[in-house]
Amino acid sequence: MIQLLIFAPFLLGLLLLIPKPGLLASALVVGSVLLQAGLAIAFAVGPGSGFLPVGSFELPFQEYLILAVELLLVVYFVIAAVRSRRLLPLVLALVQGAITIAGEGITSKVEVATSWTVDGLAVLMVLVIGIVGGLIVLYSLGYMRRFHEEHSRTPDRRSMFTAVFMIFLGAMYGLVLANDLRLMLLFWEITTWASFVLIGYSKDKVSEKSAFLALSLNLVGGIAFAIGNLLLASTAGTLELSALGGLGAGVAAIPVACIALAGLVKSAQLPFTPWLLGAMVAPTPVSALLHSSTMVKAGVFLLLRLSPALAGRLTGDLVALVGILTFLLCAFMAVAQRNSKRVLALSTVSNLGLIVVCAGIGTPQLLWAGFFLILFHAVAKALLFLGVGTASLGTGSLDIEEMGGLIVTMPRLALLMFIGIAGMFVAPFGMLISKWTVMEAFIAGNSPINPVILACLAWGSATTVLFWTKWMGTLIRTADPAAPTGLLEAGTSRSEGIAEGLLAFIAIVSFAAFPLASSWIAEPWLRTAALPFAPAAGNVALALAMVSLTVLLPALLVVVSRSRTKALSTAYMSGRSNGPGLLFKGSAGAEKAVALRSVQLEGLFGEGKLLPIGIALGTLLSIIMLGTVIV
Amino acid sequence: MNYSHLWIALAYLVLGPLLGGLLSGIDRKVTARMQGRMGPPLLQPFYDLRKLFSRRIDPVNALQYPLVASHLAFAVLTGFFIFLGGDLLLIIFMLTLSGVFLVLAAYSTGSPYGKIGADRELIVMMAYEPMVILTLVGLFRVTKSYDFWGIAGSGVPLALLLPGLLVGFAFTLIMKLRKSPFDLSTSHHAHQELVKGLTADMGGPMLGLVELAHWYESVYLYGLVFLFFSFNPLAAFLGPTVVYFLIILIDNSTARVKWEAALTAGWAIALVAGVGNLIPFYLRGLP
Amino acid sequence: MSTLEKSPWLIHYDASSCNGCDIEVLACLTPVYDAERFGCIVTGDPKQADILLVTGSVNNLNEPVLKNIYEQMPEPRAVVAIGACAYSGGVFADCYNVKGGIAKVIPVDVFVPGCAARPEAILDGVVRAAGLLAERRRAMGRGKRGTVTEGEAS
Repeated sequence: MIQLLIFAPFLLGLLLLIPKPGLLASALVVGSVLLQAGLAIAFAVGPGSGFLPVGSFELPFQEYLILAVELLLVVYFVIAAVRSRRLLPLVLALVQGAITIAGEGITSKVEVATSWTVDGLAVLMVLVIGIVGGLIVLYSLGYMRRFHEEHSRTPDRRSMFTAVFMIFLGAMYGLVLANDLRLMLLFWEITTWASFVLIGYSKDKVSEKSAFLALSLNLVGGIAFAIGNLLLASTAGTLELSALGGLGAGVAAIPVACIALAGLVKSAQLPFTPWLLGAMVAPTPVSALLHSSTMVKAGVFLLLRLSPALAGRLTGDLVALVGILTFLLCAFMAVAQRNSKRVLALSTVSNLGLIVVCAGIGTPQLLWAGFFLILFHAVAKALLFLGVGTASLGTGSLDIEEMGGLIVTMPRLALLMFIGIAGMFVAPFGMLISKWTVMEAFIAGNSPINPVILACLAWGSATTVLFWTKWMGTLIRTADPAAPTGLLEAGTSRSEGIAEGLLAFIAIVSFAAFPLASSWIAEPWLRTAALPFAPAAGNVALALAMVSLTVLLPALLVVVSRSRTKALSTAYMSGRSNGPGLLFKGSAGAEKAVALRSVQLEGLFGEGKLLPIGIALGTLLSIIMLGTVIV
Repeated sequence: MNYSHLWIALAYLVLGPLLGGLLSGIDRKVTARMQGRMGPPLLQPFYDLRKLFSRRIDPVNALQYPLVASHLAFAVLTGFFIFLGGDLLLIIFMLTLSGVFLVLAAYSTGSPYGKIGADRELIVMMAYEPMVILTLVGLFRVTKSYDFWGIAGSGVPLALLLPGLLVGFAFTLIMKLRKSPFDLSTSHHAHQELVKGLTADMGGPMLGLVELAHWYESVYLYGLVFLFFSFNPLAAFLGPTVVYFLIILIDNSTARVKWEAALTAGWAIALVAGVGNLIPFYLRGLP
Repeated sequence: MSTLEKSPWLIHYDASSCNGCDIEVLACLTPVYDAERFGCIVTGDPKQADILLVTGSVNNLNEPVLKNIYEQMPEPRAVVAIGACAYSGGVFADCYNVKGGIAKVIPVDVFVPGCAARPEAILDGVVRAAGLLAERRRAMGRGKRGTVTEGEAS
């Protein structure tokens, strides 16, 4: 089953390379999406999953396959770096190759008893990849067609695009199921490659630069991972992820720190955040799939898996500090941003930071919260990215200010984005439930770093409210309620509509059914990890009451007020305006339409100010983390 | 949660506005006396509310009414769940939601006045929220209880153990209740550079809903102040009264500040008084 | 007493006053005169106001503004014209751009005399206007539209 799940997307990806964009290709894409999503669901709920069977089979010619693919990737990176004359990626790729070849003798000797693990966390990831990932691929079908209509100078490489998407999905399945660190590193590198190729999709200067930045930083992570593997194999004689927690602190300290560093790079924590911000130049489906709902989750997924080896140790505390620093500073920076994708990217990194905190401290309650942060973030953020993509094709801009009054021009999309934003910060939907669990865990805990983390949580949450509410407010501001509605919505393709609608549906279901997800997947996972936790029944009831009230009350009020509202009035404009649209009338009959812009608080929260501070502090913490284990 | 709490929570639904309106009336009377005026009748807030609901005003758009009504609904529910004995931290997030609805209602008008008021309100929310969360953290940490009744019944002299949090929380009340010097998002007095800011274009019943929400809010906010003094009956009466009086005094003796000052003040007090007060409880365990 | 009479909220518009009457309107809020005794609150938003206080005369530029403010107030509403200018244009009546008193543009209920009007007189005007509002509400309640009665100078 695992083999099928991993290899099917790879094969489908290769198949998708053949046809030119058109009806046949579209049908193939839809078929592949359905097939892989079906496999993922069957894998998660089907007989024989049971959350525990740990596979010990090997891939065909596993040792040579890993070596061959990794070297192929290195060669690809080297050629790409040479062709665009970039030294740093070239050096890093060569180092990576050297380590792969030199370490081969050591790592290949290690016997691995269980090379695959299927637990609740893996099942969650498989579902996210299969369903959310599948919907994003579906969305890209219509989006990319419209994208090329708008960007006629960008070479049309859609076959390659979807093919890489599918291969990426296969690699993600492998990554989340692997227990053998060699296999994991292999899939890890494939996702790095996919990210590199897709960020550079447009083939212009900016995307090339961003692609190489992402490549360089992720190669640093890959190298750290490879070194970790090498050390682990030579000192501890094991390469099983599940065995790391049981190793003594002395033996495992350095490799764990190295692998944790790889996880931090992949999930774009400070100081590595710039690669993810740069990656936003890629077409929106790429940002949605790789840079918010799945690939960057691989980093935190790895850290959650490492958590037994981090919890209660200095390395774990330092990882948590990196996470909370990222959480806080990225939430701050999002306030001053008006580029919608950048806000989403910063908020993504910020939330990943929170998951990193959970992994670093690793108490059962925090792991539970980390699990749900992954779930809710993947769903809500994917929905938002897709919404932003559609909105940007409609309004021709990624600027949030251009989304002003989207409730009139694209009412359906505005509603979907409302659901997504509500999922990100409104109590007690998804993210807030997890955030609240995190806070209570730290209130009860006794570590001296807790007040620091709690303070950062308090400040981060406060700023989060500001930038999301600001965005919601922009979507619903209406200068002229009588304006015709849905003007910009006509061009939306069917695949976009279906993907967004389904994601919104999944989002609402997952908010309302989180106790089921908890008792079916999260709690069994924590039990198998010997860290049992279940949320208190009273709080679950309260949260559910709040969820239903938050959904039903405003909806009910909208209906009631619609039936009772007979006429609309114009906003008060100091007596200066009359007629539709808000105008200021000046002397000599001059008229000036009202143009509203949101607060940015650039002076306090500007990226130019905070990012360097964050990078400096993040670098410091990372160096301390490596330093303490080596010394 | 038990039945006696349910009765109290239900009583809050009915008596909350009466108590809140009375508090507002006392506020206006005391304010007038501080200024050497006679002031309005004690029941003036109720006259005002009755008048507002007797008015008919067309909303500016289809969302304005439901958003304002949601603001009230969630303010009421916040108090209801607090007195029912739910987890305070989870409920405080609901309080934020109530504020978000009001801000969204103001944004939806598209009017520059409402919009600037909403922006300022958001900034003020951002200024006081860390302190509110830290206050709850402190209450939880010291009493090991997560709900209103558990904390109230703990018997721990919270005002003495957590003076920083008490001062900080009282400070956030000034912001939360939109009192001077932090009344920058709207205006209760004659300064009208933003017309009415946050509540611009909300006339008649809509303003009535906002006012009602304000009354409900003030009741449970003073309820939270009460928690600090719940260890002793005399303190339980005097403490919140003194805090209430001081807030009115500050309201009457300060001039409105700019948003930068509001943000700096809110965050500085949360950092110094809030975090400062919390740290000992994590360094040395419980006293 | 009716609900409207007990809580008359005011909006003040300075048409083209010399600011003399405006100062006196503000004086009404001071401790000496304390308009809040009568439940008065000065609001900036016509949608929240019950009584419109106008000082100064109407000219071509402020005529639409005055009308707009008046129209945005909920019904029943009352208008108090304060001072000589608001009554007839006062000393500016012959000015090239002045149209005259407020009543030329919107129906006025109470005229408060004076140049400038005294705070006591202004308060008296407000109280009378509040009484008119209550009457008008009762008339509306009986299904009749409130008729605009020109109030006499107090």
